[in-house]
This record gives sequence, C-alpha cells and structure tokens, in this order.
Amino acid sequence: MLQLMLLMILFSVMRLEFVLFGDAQLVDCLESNREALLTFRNGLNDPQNRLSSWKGSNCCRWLGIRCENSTRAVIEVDLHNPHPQGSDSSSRYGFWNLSGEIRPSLTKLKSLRHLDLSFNTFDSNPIPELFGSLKNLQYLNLSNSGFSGSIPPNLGNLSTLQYLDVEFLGLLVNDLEWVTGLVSLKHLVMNGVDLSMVGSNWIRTLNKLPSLTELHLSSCVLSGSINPPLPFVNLTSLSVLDLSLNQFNSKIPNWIINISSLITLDISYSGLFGRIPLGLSDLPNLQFLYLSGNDNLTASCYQLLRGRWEKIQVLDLASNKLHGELPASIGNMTFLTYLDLFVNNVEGGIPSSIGKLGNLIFFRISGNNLTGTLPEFLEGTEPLPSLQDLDLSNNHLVGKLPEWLGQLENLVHLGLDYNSLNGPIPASMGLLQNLTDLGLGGNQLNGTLPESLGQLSELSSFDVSSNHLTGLVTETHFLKQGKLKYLHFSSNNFTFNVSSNWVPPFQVWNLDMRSCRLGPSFPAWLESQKEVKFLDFSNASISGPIPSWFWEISSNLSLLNVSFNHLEGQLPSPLIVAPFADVDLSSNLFKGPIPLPIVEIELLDMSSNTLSGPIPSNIGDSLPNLVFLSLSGNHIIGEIPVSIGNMQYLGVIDLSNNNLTGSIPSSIANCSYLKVLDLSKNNLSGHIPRSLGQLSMLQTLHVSDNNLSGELPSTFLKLSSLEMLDLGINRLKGKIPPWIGQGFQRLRILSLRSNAFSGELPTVLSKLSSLQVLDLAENQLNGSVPASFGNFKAITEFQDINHYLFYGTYRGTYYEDHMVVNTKGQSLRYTKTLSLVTSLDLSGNNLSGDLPGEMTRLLGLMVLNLSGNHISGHIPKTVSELKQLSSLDLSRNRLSGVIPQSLASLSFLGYLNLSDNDFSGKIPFTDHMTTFDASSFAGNLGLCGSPLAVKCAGDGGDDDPGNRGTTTTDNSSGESFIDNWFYMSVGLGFAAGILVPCFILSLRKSWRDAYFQFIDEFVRRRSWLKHR
Amino acid sequence: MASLTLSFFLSFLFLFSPALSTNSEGNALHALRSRLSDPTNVLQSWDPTLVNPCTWFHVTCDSNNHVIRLDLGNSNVSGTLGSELGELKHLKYLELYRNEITGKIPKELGKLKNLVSMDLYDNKFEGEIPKSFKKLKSLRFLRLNNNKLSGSIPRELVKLSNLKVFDVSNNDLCGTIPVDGPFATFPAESFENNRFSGPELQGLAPYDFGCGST
Repeated sequence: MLQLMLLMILFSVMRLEFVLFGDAQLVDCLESNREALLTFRNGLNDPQNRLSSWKGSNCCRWLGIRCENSTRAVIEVDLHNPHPQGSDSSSRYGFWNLSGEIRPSLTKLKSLRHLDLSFNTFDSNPIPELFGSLKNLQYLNLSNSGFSGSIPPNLGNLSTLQYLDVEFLGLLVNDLEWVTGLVSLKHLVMNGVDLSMVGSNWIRTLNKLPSLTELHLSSCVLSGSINPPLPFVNLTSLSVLDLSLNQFNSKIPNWIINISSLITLDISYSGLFGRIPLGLSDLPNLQFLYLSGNDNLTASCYQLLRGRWEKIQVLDLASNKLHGELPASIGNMTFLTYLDLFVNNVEGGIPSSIGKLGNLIFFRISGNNLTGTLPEFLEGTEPLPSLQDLDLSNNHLVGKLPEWLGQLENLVHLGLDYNSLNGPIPASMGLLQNLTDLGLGGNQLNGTLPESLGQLSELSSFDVSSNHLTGLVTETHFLKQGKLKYLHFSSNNFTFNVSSNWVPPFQVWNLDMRSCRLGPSFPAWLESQKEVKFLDFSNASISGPIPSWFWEISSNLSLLNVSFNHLEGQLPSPLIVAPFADVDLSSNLFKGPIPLPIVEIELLDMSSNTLSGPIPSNIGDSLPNLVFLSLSGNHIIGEIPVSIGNMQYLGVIDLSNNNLTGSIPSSIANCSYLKVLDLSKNNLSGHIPRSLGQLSMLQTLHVSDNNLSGELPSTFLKLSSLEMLDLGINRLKGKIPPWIGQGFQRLRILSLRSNAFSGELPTVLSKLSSLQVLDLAENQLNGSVPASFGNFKAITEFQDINHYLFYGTYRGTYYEDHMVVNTKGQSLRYTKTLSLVTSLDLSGNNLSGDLPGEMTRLLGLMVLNLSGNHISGHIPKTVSELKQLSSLDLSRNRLSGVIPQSLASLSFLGYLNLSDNDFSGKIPFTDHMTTFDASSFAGNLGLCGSPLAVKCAGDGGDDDPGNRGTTTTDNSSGESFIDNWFYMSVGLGFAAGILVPCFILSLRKSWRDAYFQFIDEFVRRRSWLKHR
Repeated sequence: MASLTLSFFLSFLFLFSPALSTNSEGNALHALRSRLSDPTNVLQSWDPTLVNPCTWFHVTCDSNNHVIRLDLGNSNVSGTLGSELGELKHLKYLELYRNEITGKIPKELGKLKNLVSMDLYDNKFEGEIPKSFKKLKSLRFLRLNNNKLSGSIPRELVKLSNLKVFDVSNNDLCGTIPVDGPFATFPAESFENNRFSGPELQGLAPYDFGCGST
C-alpha cells in the first residue's frame, strides 16, 4: 500500500516536470480567465514566490496552467507540491508550499477540467463548496492539501468527474450518499478520511458507481462487517481495491471474489478473520494481494498456494494464522516476485521447486514452524536468479547450509537466524557480492569462519552470534568489508588473531563480541573505531589495563560492557560515555576509587572488582535517572550516602559484600520503584529504618550478615510484594511478630537465622502460602513446634517447575536472587534453582515438646533440620511420605522410640543425622539406609545393629545388611552358601570322582542340563526348608 | 519483529550467565543427564551453568565440593550410563536402583576407587559385569540384582575384601560362582534365578565351560 502511494507521488512529480518544461503554451489566454487567476493568486500565501511566473498577459504560459488551444480557456490548474513531506526531496517542500484561502474567482474558469492542489497547507478550513460548481471538472486532487472537517456533499454535483483524491487524515464524511452523483467517477481516493459515521452502507453506495476502476479507502476508520448481501456486484471495472488499515472484524466477503477485473487487492491490517477464500486464486487478473497483519486469517498453505494464481506477482500473507506445508506446485507461480509468510504457522520444509521462481525477489517465511533441512539442490537451470531477500529465521530448520546459497548472486538480505542449522558456513557465501545483511545467529553452526566472507564488500550487518563456530578470526575475514556497521560474533568459540597495527576497513557501530577471545591485552584495533555505539566485550579473555585512548572514543557509547574479563588498574574519573548509557564493568580487577560518569546514565554495574574508598556522596545528584546500581563485592568503606534517595527511579540497589558502616539511610525509602535492596555482608549497624516499609514494590530484601539491632519494624507489614526477606546473621531481637503470617502472600523465603529472636513460634506463620524456605535457626526460640507447621501450602506440594528468581530487569541486566541454605551439614548457595528448594530449619533453638506428626504432610520438603533443640517424641512411620527429603537432621534432641523401617525407603535422602538422641532398638539397615554409616546413628545408647558395632540382643552371627531391599533380616541359621554345595558334594560322593562327570558333562549338553537341573533343584529345596 | 524479540531474549539469556562449569564432575553429571530421559523432572535442577554441581538435587558433595553421592533411586529415569561417570573420582554412593536404565554397565565405573556402595538393582542393564570392578577396593555394597546381565561373575571380584553385600540374583548370569574371599559368606539368594553352573571348585582349574551357550 505504501509502495503504491509512493509510486503515485513519483508519477505526479514526473508529470509536473513535464507540464513545467515540456509543454509551453503558445496561445493567449482569455482575459476573464487571467483576471480570475490573479484574484485567486492574491488569496494565496506564496512566501517563496513559487508563482513568480504569474504575470504578463498570457496566463496559459504561467506555471501550472494549461489552456485549450481552440478556445484559449484555462482547462488545467496544477499547483500541487512536487516535494511532499516524507518523500526523498522533502527538503524542498517549504519552497513549493502554498497556503492561504481559495478565492471564489476560481469558479470563473468555466472550462476547468483538471485541478490539483495536493500537498499544500491551505488554511485548515473545510473544503470550499465552490469546487462543487466547477461543472466541467474531470480531475480533482485535494489530497493532503490542508483542508479539514466535513467534505461538502455538493462535490456530488461534479457529474463529469473521473478522478477524485481527497486523501487526508483531518477530513471526515458524515453521509456518503453524494458520491452517487459522481456518475463518471473512475478513481476515488479517500485514504485517511474518517468514514466512521457512514457505517457499513459505504459498500452499497459505492456499488452504484459502475465505472469505478480504483477505490482507495485505506485508514478510513471503517468498521463492522464488509459482508452485507449485495444484490449484484456493479463494480465490474474495478481493478484496484484498497481497504487496508481499517477495523472490520469481518470475514473476507464473497462479493470480492466476483470482481474478476481485480488486479490489486489490499485488505491488510484490517482485523479480518476466518478462512481466506480459495476463490481469490481464481481471479484471472489478480497480480497483487495484500492480506498481511490481520492476525486471524486462516488457511491451509498447501491448499491455498495450489490454486491457479494465474498472474500473481505479490502475495503478502504475513502475520496471520496460515498452517500446513508449502506445496511443491509453488514453483509454478511463474510471475511471483514477492512472497511474505512472516509469522504464521507454516510447517514442513522448503520445496526444491522454489528454484523455478525466476522472478522472485522477496521470500520471507520467518517466524513459522518450518522443519527439516533446506533443500540440497534447487530445481531450475539457474535457481532463483532474481532473489534479493531470503528470510527463513525463527523456524526449526536443521541440517547444513546448502551450496546454492552462494549462487544467489543478487541476494541482499539473508536471514537464517534462530534455527537449528548445523555444519559449516560454506565458503561460497563469499561470492554474494550484493549482500548487505548476513544473519546466521542462534544456530548450531560449527567449523571455522570462511575467509571468503571478507570479500563481502557491501556487507553492513554480519551476525554469526550464538553458534558453535571456532577457530581464528583474522584481518582477512573483514578484508573488503568497508561498509560494516553491525558485527555480532558473540557466544562462539572465536579467537581473534589480528596484528597489533591492524586498522579495520570499517567504522562499525555495534560490536557484539561477548565470549570471543579478544585478549590477552585490550584490542588495539578498536582505537580506529570512532563511531562505536554498542560495545560488548564481556567475557572476552582480556587482561591488563584499559588503554587511555579508549576513553577518547568512548563518548559515543550507549553500551559499555567489559564485564567478566581480567581488566585491571584504576578507572578514569569521570567515566566518559554517552548520555543514558549502560555501563557494566563487573567481574574484573579494577581498583581505586569509584568513578562517576560524566553524564547521566541509567545502569551502573561495577560489582566484583576490588574498588575501594567510599561511595561518592553526590552519586544521587549526579545520576538522578539511574535505574540499576550494583557495587557489590568490592572493598567499599564508609557510609551509604543519603543522596541515594535522590535516585527516584532506582529499581535495583546492590551494595552487598563490602565494608560499609554506619546505618541504613532512611532516604532509601524515596526510591519508590525499588524492587531489589541487597545490603548483606557489610558492617551496617543501628536499627532497620521504619521508612523502608514504604517500598511497596520491593520484591527482595537482603540485609543479612551485618550488625543490625533492634526489632523488626512493624511497617514491614506493608511490603506486600516481598518474595524474599533475608534478615539473618544480625543482632535483631524481640518476638517473631505474628503479623508476618498475615500479609506476604508472595513470600517464598524468610530467614531470621542467627539473631536473638525469642519467644514461641507463631502458629500463624503457616499462613505464608508461598513460603518454601523458613530458616529460624540459631535464635533463642522456645516452646514447641506448632502442628500448623505441617500446613505450609507451598511445601505440601512437590515443586516441579523452576521459576528463575531474578528481579529488576533493565535492558537485559537483572539482579539474580540467591540464598544460602544449610543442607546436608553444609551451607549451599542456591541461585537459578532457588525456587525449587524447600527447607525448614529450626535448629539451634530451645524448642521442646513432641515432634508433630503433621510435619509429614509437607510432601515437597527437601530439607528438615530440627537439630540442637530439646524436641521429644518419635519419628512417625509416615516419614516415608516425605519422598523428596534429601537432608534430615534431627540430631542433638530427645527423640526416642525405634527408627521406623519406612525411613529406609526415602531414596533421595543424601544426608541423615539421628545422632545424640534416645532412639532405641535395631536400626533398619536395609534398602537406602545402608548408604549411611555409624556416624548417622551415634550417641543413641539404645540403638543396636549395623552399621553400629553394637550387636542387638538375640542376634546371632553376622548381621545381614539387608540384601536387595528385602525387609527380612532373618538369617538366624548362619549357614552360608558354600555349605550347601559342600553337602551336595558329599551326597554325590567324591568316589565318583570329579573329573569324570566334568569330562562327560562337557561333551553332552543334555546330560549337563540334567545334572545341573538336579543340583539347582537340590539347592532350591534346601533353601526353601531353611526359610521355613 | 519476532526475530528481534527472540534475539533480545537470547542475548539476555547468554549475556549474564556466568561461564560454563569447568568442573569435570559437573560435566560428567551433565553428560549423564543428557543420556537419561526424565519424565518426572527429577533432574531439572541440574543446571550446567552453575559453578559446581553441589546444589544440584540428588547430588551430594563433600566439603571440597567433590561429588560423593548420587541418589537417584526410584526416580523414573531411563536411558543409558556412559563412560563419563568414571570421572566422579570421589564418589562413594552410586544409587541408581529401581529405574528403567538400559545398556551396559560402563567399565569406567571401575575407576571409582572410593565407591562404598553401588546400587544398580531393578533396572534393565545388560551385558557383563565389568572386570574393572576388581579395582573398587572400598566397595561394601554391590547390588546388581533384577537386571538382564549375562556372562559370568568376574573371578577378580574375590579380591574385594570389603565387600559385605553382593547380589546378582534375577539376571542371566552363567558360569561358576566364586567361592573365595568375601564370596565365602554371601547367601544363596544372592545368586538365584540365573544360569550358574555351580560353585567354583577349589584347587582345580575353574570350569567355565558352556557359559552362555544355551
């Protein structure tokens, strides 16, 4: 549609030049006409004196005027602006622009047939009614001429009008009935005119214009069905129908497939749904079909494309719901130049018959479900000779890149990104001399990068990122790439090997080189690159300092990412980057004070370095728009600046793992968009500010491992978005407030570990329905474990879906949440899989009372640690319900009774500690229990049997450590296997000799079988008797 | 548009994930994961981008981050084992019982010098008991029962002086049953439902004639 419009514009421009210079009129014009034109001109505003030729007597020679030779009457006034805004020459728009009013003297030009005022800015009044009295008008073009409001219905008087163009967004029509007066009309353009008041009657109205050949109603705010029953279709001459960019909510109407004269049909982006009628393929003249962007049109690709499509050139079916495979017959659509199936559900492979499409220029099936390999060979003598655009990205294609790709000599864009293609990149692709975009990213391509690609002199975008490519990248790979702007080499196994004085032939904008080995020292060739905007050298094996020249080219950088290298030295202050940049210098060896950027930026990550000194106190005033701040894992000292609260858009503050002192500034509460606050592992002291309760968007709060004192502020009740509350290892005291159980419906993890909390465990904690990890260990809690602790909803079910817990995502950077969980006698730091962890740790308190049997309702529980309390009672038999249990520590309590046999069925248990209790009886040393040694059971005076050295009373002989999971441990006979055979041997008699039967048996299979059958039977019976 | 979205998503995935584990034990376990089919998602925490496998569920490490236990009994996994398990040099407990694992028992398991317990019972292992098991000097529990193992019991296993429990019942083993060393104490049930020709007769050349020929 856009292309069409541009064509029209181009056409009219050419026409004007012709009028101007090629058709000088020799006749004198009528004086009445001359006067009328002069009066008309006086109404116009022509600041650049475009109409300077409008003087003298012969008005027929004036710019834009044409007269009829015989009558000397003016028949044409063409004042359109040939350089409309949006065109290539729009810089000249101002010179040509006319404005002002349309004077009525125009109506004195009685013979006027052609009037073109398009692309000017006449006063934004309604279209003057006087146009309706220009009775002889055949051509009226008011397109984009500045008029607005209602189109006057008296235009319907122009019964000889053949061409009417009123395209403009500011116009509207209340009632379209006047159009039926335009009985000669062939060409109607109303693009952009608001026809929403007309309703769906427009079809019936326009059906009364039998001469109509072109109808353009794009962006007319038309809505409702376009499917009214028409008695008959009068539009028998219609060749162009453009209804794009409306909101029909309709199926494609059947009357359209009856208009056999149609050449162009455009109903793109119009809210159509339902099946695409196969009848469209039978329209004998159809060349251009645009149905893209309707989202809900369906069709079987296979059926649809097997239709006749006799003259089809353009098939634009993008962004719909086409399914099925491409038929092999697609190769018969000889005239096809443009096929777009972007974002549909096309399946199957690419037929080799496409090779026969000799006129095909544009072929796009990206974002579908294509499978299989690309055809190894294409049909046709010279396959796809015209192809410029080939885009098959975002499918599921597998296999190798075929050689024919290198023979598409007119190819400009190649997109095969995000498939599962493998094998090497064919060297022949270096032959694609017109290629500007090479997209091979996100596949499984392997091998080395062919040096021939350095011959691609037109290449602008070179994307081979996220593959399995290896080997050296040298200067040859870029030899002729003087136009390269986008270089995406990240996530491969490349090693750059270029000379230290290499000056690349390009001036690149994007350098996406993550995980390429660019080192060992900072790449010197970068010094020549003055236009780089996005620089990602992360994880690029670069060591040593950043050279000083880098900070001379860095002022254009909107992305500076050199994280995960071994860069060292001090950073310059100020840091020079472009305004609103993302700066990621994390995980290096930078030292010295923290520099601030010279301009405002939005992301600053300097975590995991060895930066020292304080956080600049003016950070909040220098970077008021900062969204992401991480300085964790450095040697930062001093206090957290109060100005931090001036950065009101901060989503993430991570200052963890430093040596910060002082108290937490209450001004942090001004960062009302804060989602992440991590101040853990510092030396912060004082109380937790009550104001933090205002951070209603806060999702994760870590202040563990500090010296914070006082009680938990009751304002925290308002932190309703909180998923992680980590207050462990501080000096907090007081009771665990019961209100914690009230809000916090999203709280996954609550850690109050290693503080001085006292009092009883609130029963209501179990109302935390999302809680997976409850760590209250190492406090002074007393009372019993509430029975309600068997009700933690999120632990009563097995968590089998991992939700990667990351927060505060900003342009690809995010804060990854983490938690140290004590399990299996170790402290393990969980990150990506944290959401799968379930743990109850109440160890190291003064808890007493019986172990509640309700705990075995926590079917998803993985870690249970109640050690170091005074808990009594026994392990319930139902403990075997806890099938996910991997660590069970009940040591150092007063538990008693027998260890239930069912405990031995917990096959995921990797750690068991029952030591130092009062358990008694025989250890059920069978099944999985045999994987635990004596240390798991030590310190229980009443326990006996393996693996302890203590034998159980009444147990004779050796222990039987439970073969193959049987629960029978009875082996009282003490006889071992060899005895059976001894008796048997005696029974048979040594006298018979051994060698004889051996010899015989070795000769005769049937004897041998009988002999051993006998022995087997004998042994079986003996065993049976023994077990009786 | 979709390509943009996807590429953004992918760069987001790759951009900030730390370098892949260089930990050979993690690699070995990841190789194991790729061989196994895991319908109940018990291995979903096995994320190779984590620094070491110690936070992977069903894996236990010692204080030096060496893998010492693999507890995957009863976990509905199927597939095969590979040679990479031999890389778990510190492994003490290999618990893979009651699954649907097929194929041969890799001979590289013989490299697990610290192994105390190898429980492969109730699977569908086939092939022979690797002779390399003779090197498992710490082994106390070797339960291979209820599989489809064939061939004979490697005589070299008599050298495993710590072996307390040995069970190969319900297989397709043949040949003679060793009687030396720890084999002197194993009960008859440990050998039943095989095609053994009888005990090895002491003082004479072992007669393993006919094994596997019926």
